[in-house]
Amino acid sequence: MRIVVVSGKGGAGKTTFSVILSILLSKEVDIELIDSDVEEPNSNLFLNSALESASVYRKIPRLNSEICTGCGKCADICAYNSVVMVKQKPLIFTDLCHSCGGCVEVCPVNALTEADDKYGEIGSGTSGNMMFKEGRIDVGKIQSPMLIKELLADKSSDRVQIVDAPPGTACNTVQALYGADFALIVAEPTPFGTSDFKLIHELTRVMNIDSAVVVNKDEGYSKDFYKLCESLEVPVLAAVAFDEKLSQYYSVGNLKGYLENEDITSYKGAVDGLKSLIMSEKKNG
Amino acid sequence: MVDTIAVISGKGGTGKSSLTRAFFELEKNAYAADCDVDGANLFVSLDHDIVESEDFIAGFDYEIDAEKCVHCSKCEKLCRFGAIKDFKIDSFLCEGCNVCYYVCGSEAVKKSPKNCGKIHRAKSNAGFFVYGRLVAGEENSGKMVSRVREISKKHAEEIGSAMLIIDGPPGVGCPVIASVTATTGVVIVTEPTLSGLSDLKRAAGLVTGMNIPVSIVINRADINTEICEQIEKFAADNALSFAGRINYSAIFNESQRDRRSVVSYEESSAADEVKKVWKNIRKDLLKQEK
Repeated sequence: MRIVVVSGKGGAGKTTFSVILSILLSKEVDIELIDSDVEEPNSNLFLNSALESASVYRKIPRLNSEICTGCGKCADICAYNSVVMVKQKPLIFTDLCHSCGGCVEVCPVNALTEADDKYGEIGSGTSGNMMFKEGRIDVGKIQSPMLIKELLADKSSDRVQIVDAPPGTACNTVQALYGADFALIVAEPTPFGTSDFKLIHELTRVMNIDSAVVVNKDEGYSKDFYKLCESLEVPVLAAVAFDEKLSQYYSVGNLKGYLENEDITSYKGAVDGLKSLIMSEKKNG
Repeated sequence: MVDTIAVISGKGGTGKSSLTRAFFELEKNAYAADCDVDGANLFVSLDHDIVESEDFIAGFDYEIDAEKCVHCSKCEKLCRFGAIKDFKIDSFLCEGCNVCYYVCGSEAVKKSPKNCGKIHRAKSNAGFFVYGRLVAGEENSGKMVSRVREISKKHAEEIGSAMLIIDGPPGVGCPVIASVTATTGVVIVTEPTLSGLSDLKRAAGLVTGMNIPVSIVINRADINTEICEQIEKFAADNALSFAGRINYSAIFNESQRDRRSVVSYEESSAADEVKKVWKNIRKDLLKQEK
């Protein structure tokens, strides 16, 4: 089973909730936490798991210009302007390439072959009885959706997967949500947070994924936000007040300390909500 | 050419939009562009009238015509994105690469231009601004950023604006690269947390790799002064400008609700700090100020 933690807005508390809920749930359920915010992965700052890292490669085309006849079919098929014809020879901009293999496929004389290009890393490790995995794209590469797809390709795990998703509502988030059994939306009930919440909720609806909300950093001006959830018929599992102490613990990467030392009853609704979800999923196979 | 300053952060939620909103108001004769197209917020905090809107058409939707399809499976075999199954295309997996369309021997794959969202040009008290709103789940956010910049730059030049301020997206990916490319300078707004520092390093690496000057701002500085010092040291070690610290203030959220900018709360320390930071950013990033 896979639960994806999303928010639309950055900084709403995706990582905080992913880590806290994973730790609390892992006392009773086998959990694998996956950080799919590959542009800025942060979950492991709170787990300090020693990661084993593996490079991830993509395919990029390489031209043998001696064979090339300059027919231009490669440039013709390329949808990303990654191959363009200059003086009847293809010029390849690998930065823009999506590794679709189209140019190689249509070349009538096999002048194009594919080579490996490293574009990121996938790290894996453990933290307590929890498994952990993260993707980390090389700075300057634009293939984040590809890396997220690679990171989340395996859904066969017996463990409940909790996925810390990237911000936004575009390609990266779509890939993180693809194949999800459930989306947990972390929402900040501010005007910015509300605007972004509407977008991410719409995305889960379009992708046909059931969702629930946890309200974070509630400062007491949130009546309209709860009304909105009601009208959208999204259940609110928990509401967590703004807590300066949490910011302190968060700042030094010590969410574990927060869970040990502070009052965390407001997270209970979220833990219980997910637990009953996991149980009913197990029952229904 | 109009000076262009992009505000990014790496980590989301550090206060990019609130600060951009404030800078926009502080800078006389500025133009703004919200390039966080899949989570635009500037329009939320600015009373505005939309002057002009355009559909953003990019890429194609692909579909298999069941009547023409001869079930040869060639497209399915060649699709690297696993988007074709049972002679149907899954739009959430499709990356619009064109291969199925190109290789189909029976012209069964149809493609139609895709409407990915809307771009609005609006007028506010602080000045004109342009914002894009990508349809949730759509691709081509980087291309939309480029189009938002194109429209805002053209109009800013027409009306003689002195500066274009870009509210950028979080992360270091495609839309961020499109937001910072060919700007005069980039402001990175961070916060004194290990996450903020880690994300700052990646964002700064991206921008300096493009040879664009960087000025760093710490927001909610009082969360952790020790990490503030680490951030300032990182700036100094890498010869990046440091524009200053802004302490936590409830005024940031209040200003969103009131649709005002932080600097309009005249007597507040938040307003003073933001003003000081903007002054330093101008000094750091604008050539004529040096």
